[in-house]
Amino acid sequence: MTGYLLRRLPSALGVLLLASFAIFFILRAVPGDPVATLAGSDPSPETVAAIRADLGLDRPVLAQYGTWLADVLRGDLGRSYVIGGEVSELLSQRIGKSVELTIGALVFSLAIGLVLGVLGVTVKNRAGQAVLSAINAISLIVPAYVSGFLLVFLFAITWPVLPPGGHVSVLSDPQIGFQYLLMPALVMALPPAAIVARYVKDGLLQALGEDYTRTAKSLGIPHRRILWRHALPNALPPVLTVLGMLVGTLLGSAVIIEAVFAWPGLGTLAEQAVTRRDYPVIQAVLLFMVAVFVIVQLLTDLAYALIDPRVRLR
Amino acid sequence: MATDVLSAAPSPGPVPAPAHAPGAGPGPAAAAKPRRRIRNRYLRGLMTPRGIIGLALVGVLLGAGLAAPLLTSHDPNFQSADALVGPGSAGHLYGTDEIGRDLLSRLLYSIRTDLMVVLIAVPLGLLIGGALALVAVTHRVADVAVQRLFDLLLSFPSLILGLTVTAIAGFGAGSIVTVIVLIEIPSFGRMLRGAILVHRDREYAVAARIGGAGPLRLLTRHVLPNAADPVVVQVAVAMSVAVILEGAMSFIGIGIRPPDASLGGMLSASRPYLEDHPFYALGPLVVITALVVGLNLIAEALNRGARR
Amino acid sequence: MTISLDKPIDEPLDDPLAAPAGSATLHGLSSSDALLRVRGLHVTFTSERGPVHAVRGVDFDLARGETLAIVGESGSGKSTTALALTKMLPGAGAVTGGSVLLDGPAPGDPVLDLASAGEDELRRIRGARIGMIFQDPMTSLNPLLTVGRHLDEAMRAHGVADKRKRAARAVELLDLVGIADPAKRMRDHPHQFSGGMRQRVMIALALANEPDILLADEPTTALDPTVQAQILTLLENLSRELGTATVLITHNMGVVARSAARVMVLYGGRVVEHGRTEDVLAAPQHPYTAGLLRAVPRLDAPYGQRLHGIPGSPPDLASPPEGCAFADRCTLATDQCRTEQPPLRAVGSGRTVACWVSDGPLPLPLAASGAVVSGGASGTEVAEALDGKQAFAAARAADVHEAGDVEPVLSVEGLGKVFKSRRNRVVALDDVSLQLFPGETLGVVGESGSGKSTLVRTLVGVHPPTAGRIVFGGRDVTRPSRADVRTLRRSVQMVFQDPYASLNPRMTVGAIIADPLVSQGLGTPGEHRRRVGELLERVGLDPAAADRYPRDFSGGQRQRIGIARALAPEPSVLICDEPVSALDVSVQAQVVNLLADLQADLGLSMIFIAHDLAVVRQISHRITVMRGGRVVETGPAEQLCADPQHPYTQALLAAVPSPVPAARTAAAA
Repeated sequence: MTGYLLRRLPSALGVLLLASFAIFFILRAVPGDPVATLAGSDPSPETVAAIRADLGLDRPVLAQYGTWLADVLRGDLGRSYVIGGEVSELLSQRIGKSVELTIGALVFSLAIGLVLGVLGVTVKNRAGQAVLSAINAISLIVPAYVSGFLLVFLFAITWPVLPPGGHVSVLSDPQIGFQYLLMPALVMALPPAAIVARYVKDGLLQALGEDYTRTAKSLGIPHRRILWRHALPNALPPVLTVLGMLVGTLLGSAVIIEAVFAWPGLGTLAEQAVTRRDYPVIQAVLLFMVAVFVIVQLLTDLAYALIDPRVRLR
Repeated sequence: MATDVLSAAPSPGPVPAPAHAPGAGPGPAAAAKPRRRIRNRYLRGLMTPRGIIGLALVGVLLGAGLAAPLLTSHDPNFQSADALVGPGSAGHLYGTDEIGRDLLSRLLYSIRTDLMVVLIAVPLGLLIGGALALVAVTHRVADVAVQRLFDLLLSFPSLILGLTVTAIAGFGAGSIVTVIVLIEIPSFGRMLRGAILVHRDREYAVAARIGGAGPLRLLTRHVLPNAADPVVVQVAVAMSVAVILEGAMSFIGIGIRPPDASLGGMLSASRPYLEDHPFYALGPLVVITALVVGLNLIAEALNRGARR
Repeated sequence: MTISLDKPIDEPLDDPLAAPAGSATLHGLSSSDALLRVRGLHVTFTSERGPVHAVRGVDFDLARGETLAIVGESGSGKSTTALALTKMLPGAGAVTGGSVLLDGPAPGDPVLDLASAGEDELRRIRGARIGMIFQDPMTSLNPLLTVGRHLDEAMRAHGVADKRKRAARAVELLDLVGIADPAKRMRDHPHQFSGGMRQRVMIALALANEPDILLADEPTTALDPTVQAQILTLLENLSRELGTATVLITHNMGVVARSAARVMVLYGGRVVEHGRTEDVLAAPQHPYTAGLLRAVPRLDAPYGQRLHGIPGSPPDLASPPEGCAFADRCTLATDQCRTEQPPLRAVGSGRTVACWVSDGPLPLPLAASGAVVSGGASGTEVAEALDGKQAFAAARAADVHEAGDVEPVLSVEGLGKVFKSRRNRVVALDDVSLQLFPGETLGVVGESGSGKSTLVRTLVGVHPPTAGRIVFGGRDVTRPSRADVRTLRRSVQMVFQDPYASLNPRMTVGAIIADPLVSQGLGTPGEHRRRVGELLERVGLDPAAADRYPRDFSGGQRQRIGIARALAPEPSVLICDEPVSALDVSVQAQVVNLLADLQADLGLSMIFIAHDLAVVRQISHRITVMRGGRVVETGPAEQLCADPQHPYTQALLAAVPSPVPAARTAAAA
């Protein structure tokens, strides 16, 4: 197992390094020289040179990247130009809220997906199947801002039982916090839930059609036990892989969900930073999200290896 | 990344397994009578209820967008004195927005912009992604580089990529097109690369090589026709992803910016009036949903056609 | 539902002859001994083309402790019958008629009709009273569960509550089926076992709850011949020791002869013949049984004798024929055969046949050792007498080249191929040398992993070798130049194993066959069309087939298309990689004959690869035996089979099951 981790680690670090490099250069490629912004109008060449030296811009690009990376690893993400304050502080205020939303959405999507997927295998009649596939298709393709608007219209305006937007931490007040979390997390969870459902259903159908399921049946093992103990474990590894990828989808959709529901998380911060061109903040948010994504991928692969003994041998 | 998962969903899987005839003997060549008149399998798929509804939805909206100047006499950016009037009043078929602009013409021009972005970006993504896939399957070193590129692009969630590109290139349709292209490159590229590799090792491809087919003929005559199905389906899926993304970027204010009309922008602007003037939000909601549903119906119809 | 024994048993309406009283011998035994009685079993599958009647009224009895073989080709309904007994049919299939009566566990217990039993009742029967073994041991075990867990689940399902007791019994079972160090292997996953070992585990699973009946569905088909023999021996010993009645489903007459006391032959979903194994195999009375036996390649048949295929292909059970299902392919068929279904009638003790025409044993090819001819005119005479078509026994024997006699067309010297992956290194070919002389057929035999397929792919230039030389027509083509490749593509063609995977599903048959011509720029489109028509006729297909797609054809027909494609550029060397292993015996014989004829008529040099020595012997001049990537023995075909030098060749020959019943072999000796 440790050996497997050691084999997988380099490629994960590689992608991370590549991404950090890309993100660093994004800033360098930005139109509008930061020197020009800082030096004011019509500066003397000496002033420009001094500012450049001050910012380290006169050194080779790779060296600058090295310094930046070292700073990042120490937790120093620089200062925000526009929003103001240390970037690391800005980030830490928002991360908790985003994590809350993402975990909520992940739990919803897993739960809904598992239920829909297992139902997709156990429901035999045509009408039931049609309803299930309609639910799946709608959750998958309707964009979050459309479903968000509909839910707000239904449950916050027409029949006001939930707040239309805003945030109260679940940790500080579980009941109220959950009311605020319910709609955004649900909207965020719908497309991933449909994907999980599809993978669970396909995986189960495949496992149930395999020869080993026939063997289990021929041994008189009860159907329920075959489904849960023999087939489901075989159906899970692909679900796990897709779950890792779904974390990426969730990170992306957070931006739009937070906008629809006025949720003050990382997505809103990123949106503000981009509209106001606050580059250090953009850089930090990007780096954070890519890192989370890569780490989740790695964890997924490890979990996969834990379930399936054959993977470890590869 | 995000799109990769989305697109993985309705695609037919990499290998349309050859139709083995199990158990009951295949019998003496199950009669060669022509089953349907339509020979092309994609067309055959489209000419089903599912495909026709999809085509109709997308076709009507596309037509409406293209014919926008003919369908409405109002300038989409002209601010009249009547703000937020309901449908039918003051000569505005579908009312006006908060600063008195005609909602119908804004909606029609939004469709126009949206479809223009989609129709430029998706083919471009297909072209570049496909070209990279072809390079990848021919050179081992290039393959490693191309795969890393795909991994890199996929490690950015789609809206995050949207934010990044906008941060660099500024607001506007150009950035949206770039983002969609960047998302579709790995999506098409990976899919095509995988399908080519699978089919190139199939026994019939080996047979063609032994028959003397060179690399070009092998690819064009044997491998691509068999590898194309998931890609054709993916074009429709990619378009729906692009519609959703255009809406999302404009909605959070980093795509098409006011005063230019866009579906996402209109939706975003309607948010404060959802309670008192719900009709305002209804237009963009219906249009986006219809486009997305229509494109997905087309994808599903193509998929079923290909699997026959 | 349960029925007590003294009540009359409901009989299916469409089979009036299957009445219980007085006619019990129709089903092989007097019914008082029967543990399992199957009457009028019907199975229907729903499909896009409408219902497919896979089993259409099958009757048989099974006594305690006996072994009954059910034989048939694909589509005969043999596996479906076995699965239907405990209603294990896949989703689209259902038992649509008949009864499956299983005696109670102890005398006097009520009889249970499995065909009308509920899922719960069936579940208690499956594994506990009726165990099953399936064809493919590689896929029949759950990859995520250890072997111990498999056995544990099996016993747990039937009420062995004590976990420690289950574990102890599991070790016992693994030991019983011959797995070394069972206590340790319990913790291993299926992928840590070889195919033969997995099949042993399957047997242990099926026997875990000491069932009265074991249904073995092609238990050895996926295994190598030498392993196959071991598994059959194990099954025989276990069923004798435990007193388990066995239903052995197989397509292999050799397996029947070896293991079963009684045999039931199925065709088109119906029983055509049923009786004691030695009677049926030695003196078949149904034309299909006789045809099938004639089609089986045998080691004791005269060398070079043509195989006898059965022309045509099996009926389409979506629209089952009105009369006898075999009528279309039967040389004896009359009008009655085509319009009326023949009933099973008793023709001797425990012997039944369903045929309107046959009234006694049908002729089989001469196969006794006395009839073996060693070449010359007499061989030709015998072969002619048997088939009426020009035989090639004599020619074959005379054509065998000695090394140094003529220049070889293709020769391989010290060929080596190593596959390297990141973690390991597999030696697929190790110092392989062989020569192919003009106009000869060289058979290459070996089990899986012997390197024979790698050899083929190296020869046709798909994998470059890592060592050694390939010489074609006097030129070293190990690393061919462009010009060499052009010559090779024109002169060396290949026929593949899998008739489904080797034809491009998106191309018409005509385009597939013309593909090598187009690729190599030979001829004009008009010439291609003409050549395609010619080739289709040459391989025995209608030239009109050119406009259709591969999916419209059966396995045997597809294989003919593959052969036509290989012949298109007029090659001088034809390499056939297991061209008949995916085909049924009766079709296999047709294809082998076609290849033999083509070789003789066109003067091809042919390499014929297979794992079945009996087939290879019939078609080859010389045979090379491979094992573990090396050549073990090479020699003239007849001599190599009659007098094998290498112990491995001897083992291979010994493992080929012959369709001669054990009793008769013993009597002859």
